[in-house]
Amino acid sequence: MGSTGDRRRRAALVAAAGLVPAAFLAVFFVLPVGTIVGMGFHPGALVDVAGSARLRGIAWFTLWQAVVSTVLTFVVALPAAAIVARYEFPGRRLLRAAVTIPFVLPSVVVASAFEALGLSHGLVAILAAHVFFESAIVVRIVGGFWSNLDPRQEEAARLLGAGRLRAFLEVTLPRLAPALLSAAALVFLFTFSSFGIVLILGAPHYATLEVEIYRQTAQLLDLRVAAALTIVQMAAVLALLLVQRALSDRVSGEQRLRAGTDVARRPRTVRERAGVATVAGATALVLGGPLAVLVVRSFSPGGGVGLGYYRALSTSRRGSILFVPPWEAVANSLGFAVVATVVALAVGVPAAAVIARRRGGATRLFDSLLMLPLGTSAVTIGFGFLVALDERPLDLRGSPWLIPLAHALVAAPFVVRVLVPVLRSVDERLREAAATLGASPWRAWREIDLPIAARGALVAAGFAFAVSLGEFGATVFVARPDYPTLPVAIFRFLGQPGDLNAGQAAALSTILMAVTVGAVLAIDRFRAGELGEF
Amino acid sequence: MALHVDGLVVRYGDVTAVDAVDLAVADREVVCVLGPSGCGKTTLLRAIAGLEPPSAGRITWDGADLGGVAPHRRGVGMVFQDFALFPHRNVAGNVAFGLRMAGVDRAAQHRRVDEVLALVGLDGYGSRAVATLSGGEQQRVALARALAPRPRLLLLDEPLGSLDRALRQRLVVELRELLTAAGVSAVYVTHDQEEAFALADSLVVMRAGRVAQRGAPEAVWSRPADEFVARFLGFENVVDGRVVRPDAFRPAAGGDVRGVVVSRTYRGDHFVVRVATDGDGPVLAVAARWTPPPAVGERVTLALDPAGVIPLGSAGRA
Repeated sequence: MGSTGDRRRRAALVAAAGLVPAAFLAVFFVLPVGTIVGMGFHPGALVDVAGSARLRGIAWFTLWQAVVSTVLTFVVALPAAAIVARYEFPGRRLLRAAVTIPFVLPSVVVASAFEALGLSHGLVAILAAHVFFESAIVVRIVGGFWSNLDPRQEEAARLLGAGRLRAFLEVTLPRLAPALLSAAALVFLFTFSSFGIVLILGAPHYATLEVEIYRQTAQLLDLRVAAALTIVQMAAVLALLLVQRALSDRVSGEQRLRAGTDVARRPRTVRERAGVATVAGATALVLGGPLAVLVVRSFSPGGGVGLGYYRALSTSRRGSILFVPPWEAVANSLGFAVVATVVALAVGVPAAAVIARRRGGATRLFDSLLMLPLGTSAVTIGFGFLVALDERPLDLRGSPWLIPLAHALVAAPFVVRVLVPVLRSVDERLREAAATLGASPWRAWREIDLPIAARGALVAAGFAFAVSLGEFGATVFVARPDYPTLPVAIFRFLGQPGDLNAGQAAALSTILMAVTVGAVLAIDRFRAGELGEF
Repeated sequence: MALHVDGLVVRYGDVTAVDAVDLAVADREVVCVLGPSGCGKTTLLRAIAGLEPPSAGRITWDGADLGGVAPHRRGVGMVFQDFALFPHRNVAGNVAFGLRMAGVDRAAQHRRVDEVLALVGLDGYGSRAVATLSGGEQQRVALARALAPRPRLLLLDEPLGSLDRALRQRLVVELRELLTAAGVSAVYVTHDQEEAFALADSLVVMRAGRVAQRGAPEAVWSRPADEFVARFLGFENVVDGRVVRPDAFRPAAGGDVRGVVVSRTYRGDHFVVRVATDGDGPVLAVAARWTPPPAVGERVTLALDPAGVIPLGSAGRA
């Protein structure tokens, strides 16, 4: 601001804030992934992969199923985002909270729920599960952004002669563009890197790069090909991220946050009421159906009704696939989730602050780098942790700390994604007002940006917690048998034959769902509780 | 205590927003910077606050250069256009902000907040959320927030710009009383000449980044420096380097001004008619206080009172 000296101090401050996430990324992302790539970067490997028609087919399938999944997700989720943002109706808060649930559930649970629905293995099951999974992102990101848009702009367009659709297309849609692009990019990245769903529902005919990397490393023990596939996967993700950045730059009109005002209203006409009811009902059915089937299954031991599967969780059976009573997985998961949330916030908050404040090329690179773990295969991260963090001074082999660190790595990009738009929405004049009242740049950030971002941070923390609870791909590599997490325990039970194993999987899934729903509802309570007085 | 701005230049790339501006604000003086939008007046204010780095020139306070001083160390209060109230804090939280930054203890904060809120007529508003306030109330909170830490200089950037006319007229009087009561030096930026005349001890008219005229409000009013200033102050009849006041005309059979009325506007206690003078002469605004007022299309013959004709002068010019 004032002088060059001050500007230099501020630049130093920003750089310092960026050090924590940069160091975290270097140790827990660049090092493991670099190790894997180094291990397998034989000259012939990439040629082998490129020369294999089967592997080329897998790459092509990975790409087009992600496109189709993204489009279908928007078709299903946009109406839900619209009604959640614009209309007040009974059950709105419940619906808003409910759409987050499928997204935070572990993929193994969703996969088993869709199996239980009677969908046979194959493309339809994969796409249905993806839509079920990813709708939450669209409703959360687009719906949240949408509810902050001033509806009077659309009303102004109506008065200027635009029809309802025209007003939406010409006024609301362009303003939604940043949120739409951001949501689309995330959905695409997630479905592109889909692992658990395709592993279970796609077997044996369909595989994504992710699944193939897992098979090559865990089943075929061919690290060379796995490493080559990892390189292909990461190159694709990097390209996607660059495209996404270019797109979002073009539409980066800054949105003012309408702090605290809810623009939702009751539907007025019969048509509106019917529309809202239809969308709300359909969304509830699509999202609730598979989960309801799962819950019913968990309370139906041997075809009857009872708590048999739950009772079985407290005992460590002889010949069980777990070394500890399954209940301990619940405690493990909760503990890991708390640690992972704290670490993800410690990394994500300063990173978001840096990205939100500066728009230089270096910041964009930093931003993309931070997004990379999100697009990188969870399997790669888990495997990378195992092979890279086993030497001094960072010999974490067998340490239970590997699990929350991996989770934090996966969750930190979420934290950044949630916080950056909120931080950017803080009016520069508020900081200037703080400065003229005697607040240093750092103090102004703490007094202005931080409290306003607090709501975003709560949501981010909730996401990180839920992501940790549900993380599967990386955990399955680093979880030790005596420290199973819920998803790993569920996966192990699902992999075993027999009614009791399937029933215990359903029971654990139901418990996980209950914990997740609790967390998500708590977040939504904070969100609805407004900012209050500080 | 005094602010001096010497040869201040602020450039954004190729655009020179403020071009070699001098400004002096004496102790307890209210200086109004008046000009159309885009003339650089807000940039001038922001440069004084330290929010825009100057490209050239000096800003000093009692002779001490403010060049290297960060905004938060300048001891300058600012009332922003649209107020920039902190949405996440209540009224008291907004007003106490500067006191907290200064490390004032809690009890003293409370006392000062109550005192300043009383000063702006918002006793008991402390716990209200700023979003629930009316525009006029928000304006007062913004003023109270800026005044609370006792700034040595108060900067006001069109603080009444977003309010409706009646409220503006009432608040401008209050504001003048408040500034006097607070005993603070102030720079007040506006595009509204009525506001400027009501508030200013001293007036600076800006045009395209430069000072077009400066002086006491009555001096500027009675002797605009040039056609731009005259027109900006609302004088419509600027002919051959002279301003002719609309009140200077009266109907007279032998008058020199002849023409046809082309429009007529009712102004409450009189009509303003526009007269297209003969021989493709200028269109003159005439305050017609006589009855019956001339109708559109009517031919009129008017005499000119020499007292109502002011030569544009460089007497008050910078």
